[in-house]
Amino acid sequence: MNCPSDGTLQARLDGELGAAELKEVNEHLASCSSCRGRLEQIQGQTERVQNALSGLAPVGETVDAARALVRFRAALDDQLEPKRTWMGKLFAPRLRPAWGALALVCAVAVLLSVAPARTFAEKILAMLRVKRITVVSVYPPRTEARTDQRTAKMLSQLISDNVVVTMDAGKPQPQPSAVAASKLAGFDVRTIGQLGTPQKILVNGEAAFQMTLNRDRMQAILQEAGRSDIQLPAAIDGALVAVHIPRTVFTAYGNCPEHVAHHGPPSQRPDGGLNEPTADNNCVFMVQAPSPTVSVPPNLNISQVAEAALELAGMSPAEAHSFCQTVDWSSTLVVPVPGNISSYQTVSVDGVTGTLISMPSDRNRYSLLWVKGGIIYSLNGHGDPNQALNLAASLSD
Amino acid sequence: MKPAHAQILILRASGFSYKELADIIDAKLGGIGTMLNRAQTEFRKSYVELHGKEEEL
Repeated sequence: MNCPSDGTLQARLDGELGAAELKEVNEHLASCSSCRGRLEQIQGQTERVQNALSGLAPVGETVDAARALVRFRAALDDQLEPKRTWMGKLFAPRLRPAWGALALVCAVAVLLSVAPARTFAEKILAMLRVKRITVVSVYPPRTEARTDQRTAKMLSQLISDNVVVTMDAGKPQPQPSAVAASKLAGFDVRTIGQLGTPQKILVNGEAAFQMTLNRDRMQAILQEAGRSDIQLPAAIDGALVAVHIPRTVFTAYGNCPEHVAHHGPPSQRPDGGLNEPTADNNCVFMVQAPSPTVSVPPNLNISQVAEAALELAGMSPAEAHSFCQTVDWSSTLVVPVPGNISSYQTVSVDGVTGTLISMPSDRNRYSLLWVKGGIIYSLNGHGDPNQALNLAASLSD
Repeated sequence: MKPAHAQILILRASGFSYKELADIIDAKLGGIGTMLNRAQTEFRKSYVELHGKEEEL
């Protein structure tokens, strides 16, 4: 071999060379006095520098934090394929507004997973019920896929460490008819008359979870996502937030891909992307669910927290601030949609005001969202977005 | 000293492996030896400038 670099010699001294390289380097050293001299020189320098550094006062927090981070990351790396629990699915990295009510639940959970307060009494301190949906355009910063994936892994690790599932949704239960599904779900399941009988009806079980917030860790995730500029309120540390998600009904029409029919949100590929429905399918699916209930401590300043969340989604701090002033956070769910790939409009649907989101760049995917009678609806498919309104008009009562 | 050099020296002195260092500073594992070596050289120079001599180092 050629003479090894100083870096390679350094690694040899530090015992950090792989077996094959170590053998090669040692063989070379045996026959090269000049490299042996360099090795000796580097060894001397290493010892002196280490001595000097070992005399330093304990480095303290910086190193502890870094050590914690690296352990954290190592754990994540071991977990190449994060567990795809129902919770994991809710937090899929690129979960889109098109996934309707599930995305809403996700947004509520994420929104409230960064909420302030110190203690959480057993009593319900505040209840959030969604009465209105507001859609807002955001322009997510372009980040490398690798960063996205790592952030998602950290998030998923955070969730598995800090979230206690108090009620597991279990596997979705297939139902033979809308009537049967209504009975199980506890509310009237509606079907799209124009499309006839749904090919599949699934009822997702009731689910509940609690999360104790850890501000340092959340801040570390923000940093990982390249947004160390966003500061979470100090008061969120230690707060306990409880989320209850009632039974959710999923109806699929037409040629829906298996994962849509079985799991609702798309499954995640190992590369972090999502398995998308094929372009030629005529799948239409609906999600219907009563509003999730979120219990939060009384001194929760949701507006402040929402500002941070919207900034993370890509809003400027000024935009996020002024937007947050206009929203009643106790009853409104805000759905951020990426402005560069989708557009939305307010429409009249089912006798109420809804939002029609269209994503021309994503094979004309559309998603129609509305809330009526305490139930959140989303109707999703591909094609002309106006089709969503036609389909909604034929909904059973 | 360059902050990156100071960081890697402190981390190494704290007992992190090359692999861990590569993860922390988001660098390639193969470049860690070189970076540490340069950091040490820079540290030595700075130390000498500061103290005027190297014997105590």
